[in-house]
Amino acid sequence: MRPQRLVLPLVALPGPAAAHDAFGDLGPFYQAFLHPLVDPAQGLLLAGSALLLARQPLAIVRPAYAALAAGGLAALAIGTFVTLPAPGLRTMTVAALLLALAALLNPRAGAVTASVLAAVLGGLAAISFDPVSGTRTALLTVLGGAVGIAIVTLFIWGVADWADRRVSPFATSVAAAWVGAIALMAAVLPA
Amino acid sequence: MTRLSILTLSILLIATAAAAHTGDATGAGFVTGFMHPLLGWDHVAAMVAVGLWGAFLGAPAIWVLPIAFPLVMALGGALGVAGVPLPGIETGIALSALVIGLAVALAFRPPLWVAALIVAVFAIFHGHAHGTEMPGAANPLAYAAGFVIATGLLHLTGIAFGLLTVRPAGRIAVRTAGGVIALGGLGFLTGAL
Repeated sequence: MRPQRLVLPLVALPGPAAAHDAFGDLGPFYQAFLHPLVDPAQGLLLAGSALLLARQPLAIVRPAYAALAAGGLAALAIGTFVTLPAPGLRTMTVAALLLALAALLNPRAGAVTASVLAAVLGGLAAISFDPVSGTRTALLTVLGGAVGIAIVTLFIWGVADWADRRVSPFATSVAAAWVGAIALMAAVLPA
Repeated sequence: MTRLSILTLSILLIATAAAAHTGDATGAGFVTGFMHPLLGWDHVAAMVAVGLWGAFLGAPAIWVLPIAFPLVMALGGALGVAGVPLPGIETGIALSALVIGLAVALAFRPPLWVAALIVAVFAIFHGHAHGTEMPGAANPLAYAAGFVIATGLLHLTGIAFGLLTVRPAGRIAVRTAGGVIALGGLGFLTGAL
């Protein structure tokens, strides 16, 4: 018997799958950047914020979106110096539920009101990040987190706005109903 | 050569430890939640029927029903999460396919609030069935997101098919689809399916 004939069968032997992590160690910037995608509560809150913005006129969206991004950046920056109390799942999901209901009812907010609300929401989303240590790591986390919050919100707003114009004027309402439904069920989960 | 073949075959047949998931909600997240409505034919039939009926009734029902359904379904889901018992869940789900399928097949056009009420009542049963499994999931929020989005996409599938009603032949096709769903619901109700 020639031993080399055993090579192929041995290679073909099934073994346990040892899959890698979804993202692995991407470094502080990209981990913070992708945080809304791996933390459903934060993603839900940003989705609710974006859908509420999508129901507002563009003149209100501009300052409100800037305020949301600034609020997120400010909360992340403050969080590097002071340990901010992380919001619980219930806080995040109740906020997302209220946002979804507001998007459904479509109240016309003024630019100032919408901006203040958006800044608070950006800050609330931002303080769900884990605290970090080290100047460089903290800086990259703040930048990545702020950019992530801004881009995820902008993307969802853009898709909702496009769907409202091109697919159906009710598209954002349907999406808001989905966000509200998810948030409502998560809000009653045992703490 | 024969000895070598036997050895090769034997090596290939060596069993290794199976590390597969169990299929229940434990350890589940978005994908399990997403697949939950899709893997139950009673859920699929009822959700598609909601979309079909909405499209058949036209505006504003075409959007009111898919907006009302997930919100009321979430109330049922919340009851399930909280452990509040609801009798006849499977019967309610089977009835939803039968009743809404019949409504499409018979071209039943009630006032909007009646249609919304019918859909909402059945949504409670669907939500409760999903919600009961939610707390056992490793990531309940992702699980909820999965099944709400899957449910919504099934509604949109029904709406897309229901838009065929703009043509006479399409109306026949949509009403036939409603009849098939109603028959399916009858099968679920009697245990034949």
